[in-house]
Amino acid sequence: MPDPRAKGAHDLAVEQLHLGELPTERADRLRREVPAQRLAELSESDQEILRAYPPATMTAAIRRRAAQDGQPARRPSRTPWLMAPALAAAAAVLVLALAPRLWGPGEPTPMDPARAGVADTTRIKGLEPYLEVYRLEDAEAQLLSVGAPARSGDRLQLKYVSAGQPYGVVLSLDGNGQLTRHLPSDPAGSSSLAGDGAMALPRSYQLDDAPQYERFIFVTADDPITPAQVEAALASLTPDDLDDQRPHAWPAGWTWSCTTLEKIP
Amino acid sequence: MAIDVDDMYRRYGPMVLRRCRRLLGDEQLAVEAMQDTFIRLISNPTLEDRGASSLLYRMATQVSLNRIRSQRRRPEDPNSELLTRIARATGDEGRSEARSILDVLLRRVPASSGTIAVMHLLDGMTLQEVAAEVGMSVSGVRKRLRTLRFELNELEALEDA
Repeated sequence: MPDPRAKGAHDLAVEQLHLGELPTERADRLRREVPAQRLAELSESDQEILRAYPPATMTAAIRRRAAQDGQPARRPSRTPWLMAPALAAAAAVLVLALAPRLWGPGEPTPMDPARAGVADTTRIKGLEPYLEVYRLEDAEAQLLSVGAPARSGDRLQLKYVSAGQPYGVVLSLDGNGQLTRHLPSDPAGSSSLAGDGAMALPRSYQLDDAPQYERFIFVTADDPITPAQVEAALASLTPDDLDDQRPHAWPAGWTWSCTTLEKIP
Repeated sequence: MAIDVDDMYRRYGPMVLRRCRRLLGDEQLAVEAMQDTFIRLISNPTLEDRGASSLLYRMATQVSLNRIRSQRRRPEDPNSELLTRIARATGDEGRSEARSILDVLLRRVPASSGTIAVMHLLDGMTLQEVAAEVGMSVSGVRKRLRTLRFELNELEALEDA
C-alpha cells in the first residue's frame, strides 16, 4: 500500500530533506514537491520526541543495554537428565525465541568486566549478576565472550558474579534441548551465592557433541530457590516474554542472565 | 571512528522513532526498537557519524520487522497484515540479522528482502528508488521481491491447508 501523500516524496526522502542529507539538486526538487507543512510537522515532531524521550535518558539506556549485549560465556560439569515433556516444550520455546541471538554475528568481543551484566543478553531485571565462562587449556584459562566458538571436548569453567544477590541457580541448555544443572551441583544443595567477586563453580565442565550452541542461564533471587523452581519458571515463559525482555510471569525478586557459545565441529 | 551516541540520538533519534512508530504502531515497542537500532549502530565503530539517515532507516525497518515477527497477536489493519506477512516470510533472515547489518555496513550485501519489501510495498518507493537506496540494481530488487512473493504465497498456502 504505497503511501500516496506525495508521489516521489516517500518518508525517507522527506526525512533526509529535513536532515539536510540530500544532494542539492534533489533537495531543491523535493522542496518544490513537498508541502512546507510536512517539513514543519517533522520539526515539531523532533521537538516533541526529544522532550518526551530526553537525550540524556535515552542515551544512558542505549549505552547500558549495549554494554549488556557484549558479554562472556562459560560452563561446568554436567549431569544430563531427561526433561519432562512440559520442560522440553519450554526448552523448544527458548531455542526458538533466542535463535536470533544464538545465530548472531559470532564475533567474540573481549570481555570487559565493566560491561558485564548479562551475556547475550536476555535479562529480566537489574544489571548486576552475570556469568563468566573460561576455556581451560593446559594451565591457562581463557575468558570467552558471547558467541565465542566452542567444540565438543572443550573444558569450561564457570564463574558467577552475584552482585549482591543472595541466591542463585545456574543451568545450561544445549542444541539438543537438554538442560543441565550446574549450581547447586547437588540437588539438595544450597542455592546461596558468595557475595564478593567472580566465584568459580566447584567443578569444570566438558562440552559434549550437542550441536549449534551451549547456552548458560544464571538466575538469582532474593530468597532461596531450587533448580526445579527455575525450570518450572522457564517452562512458563513464552517467546514474547523473552523477546520483550520483560517476562510477565517471572517471579518477583528474580533476575536472570544468559550466555551462549556457538558450537562448531 | 567512535560514535557519539548523544549526538547521533539528537540528530537521528526522532527519525528512527517515527519509523518504528509507523511500522509497529505501539509506542512502547517503538521506543524499544529505537534503542535496539542505536545499539546496533554503536556496535560498529567504523560507521561515519554523519549522513547516516539511510542506514539508520534501514536498520530501524529491520529491527521493527524482527519485533513484528516476535509478536503473536494478529494485526488489525491491512498495513500491519502486510508487515506481518513480510516479517514472517523473511524469518530466516532475522536469524542472521546482525551479520546482515554488518554486511550492509561493509557494503558487501544490500538490505534484507524484508526491508526492500517494506520500502516498496508499504513506503511506496519505486523500484528505482529502492535500488538506489540499498545499492542494488533494479533487476536485483525485482528479483528479491519476486522471491519474497513466492515465499508469501507458500506461506499463505500453508496457512490455508
